[in-house]
Amino acid sequence: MTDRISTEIVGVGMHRFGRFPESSLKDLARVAIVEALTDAGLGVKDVEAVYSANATAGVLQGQEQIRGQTVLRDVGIERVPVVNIENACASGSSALREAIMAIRAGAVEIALVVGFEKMFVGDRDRSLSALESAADLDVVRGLGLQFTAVYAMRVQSLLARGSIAERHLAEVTVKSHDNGSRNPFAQHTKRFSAQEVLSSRMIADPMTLLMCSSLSDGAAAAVVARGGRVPARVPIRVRASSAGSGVVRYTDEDPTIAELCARAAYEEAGIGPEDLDAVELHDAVAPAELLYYEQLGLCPPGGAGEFFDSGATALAGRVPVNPSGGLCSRGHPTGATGMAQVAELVWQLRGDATGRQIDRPRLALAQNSGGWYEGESAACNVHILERLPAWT
Amino acid sequence: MDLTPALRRDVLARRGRAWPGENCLVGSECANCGQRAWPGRSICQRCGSPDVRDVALSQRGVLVAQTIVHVPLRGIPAPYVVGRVRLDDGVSLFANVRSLGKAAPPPWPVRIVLAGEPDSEPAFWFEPL
Repeated sequence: MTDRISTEIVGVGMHRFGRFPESSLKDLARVAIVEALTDAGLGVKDVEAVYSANATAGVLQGQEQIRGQTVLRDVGIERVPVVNIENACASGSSALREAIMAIRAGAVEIALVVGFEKMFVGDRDRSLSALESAADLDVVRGLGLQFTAVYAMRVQSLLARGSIAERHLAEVTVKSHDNGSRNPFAQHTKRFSAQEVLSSRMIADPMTLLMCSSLSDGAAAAVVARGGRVPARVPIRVRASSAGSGVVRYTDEDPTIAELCARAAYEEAGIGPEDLDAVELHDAVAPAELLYYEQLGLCPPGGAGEFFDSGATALAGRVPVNPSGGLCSRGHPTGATGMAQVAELVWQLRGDATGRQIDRPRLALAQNSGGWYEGESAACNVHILERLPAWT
Repeated sequence: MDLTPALRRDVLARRGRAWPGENCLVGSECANCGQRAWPGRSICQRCGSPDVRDVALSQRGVLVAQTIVHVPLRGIPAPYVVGRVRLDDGVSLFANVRSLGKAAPPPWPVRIVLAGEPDSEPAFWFEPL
């Protein structure tokens, strides 16, 4: 650990998530990139390498190749290496990890990471088909296996095990929309009662419309630099970067890839889940938040409902979870989501999260998962960030 | 470990994912550790051995989770049921579930049904025993 090159996040930026019929991928990415570089006090010529994340532009825009270069040239970034990364909904955090690895290797001092996605294309079936390919089509083609169905089954299992009660599904969704309503970058900013959540249209039982993330357009970016290379008002250090791909679970008690990645991240950071002050996790449906409480070790196995009831994960709680509103409310433009989580945590750690700022966080965790095998995610990345200066 | 047996495996198109005559899916079984897999592997994901062969997977299993999807997709009229099945030989997989009465919360014993036509989508589904 001591001889490893330290890595910092010195700038973040977002294009608001939502429905933007007039905006192309270039328009979305431009805003996130320019905001992140401006936040870092850098220009485009300071960037030494770019890690670009997108999941569905091949299917939805026909831009199957060089997606990163096409948006980067618009903002005057050329010549430097551009690596295009697709890892389903975990594309953004996968790109971040590659930037961190390049800096740790000493090959790059300033890297740009950008995730962008445009899912509204005027043809919902085509968008859903693009999402369906987050699985091994060789064996799931034609099943109608939408991600809401996959998460519905995972949540059903949590209910069957007695970890949570039915009421938690609505209550955690209310919390998600409450947080989203305070976030100027969020797609869905309306608050809802538990009754409204339950009476909204059924998507895949027990997931109702208001529990599910929806199609979204958006972009998010970060500037990652060798520690000390770029002067930052509030330096944010990367304490851990852990990655994995799906595993076969021989029994339903075997650890998931999110559990394995979280354990590795805690070990790398030399901390435990009890040390975290904030979490952004992958709630593709709002009740997945409950699932990941257990998988990230925030509460004991079987304790998700009780942990939620304690208020620990509320905005004013001990370890606020998804202060941004998460995927469900902030929005989930797949390739941008992982970087939106990081942007939110950087803002929270710096004290810049106007309207939703949590109380003086120092350590924060982001968990971003993507795709699926037979009951398991196909990709997962967990990052732990630390605010270096003490709060005054 | 000599991995070269994996080079001699026949192409998938000739091996198939199902044996309609035997009304079962085709997975793989590792001769080294005994692990079965769906979809079948060319090298065992558990022990890394290339000593695997195609095998008829169990026709029966347990529906461990299921959801009724209410959003139609192109070519798939809603509502329809998607479930995760743990076959009797331990293999887990996603599939459509049909003929499931309302009073059937998982776990529930199920059996596989293969589509009659070779290129049908889906190629198989499960029904309650």
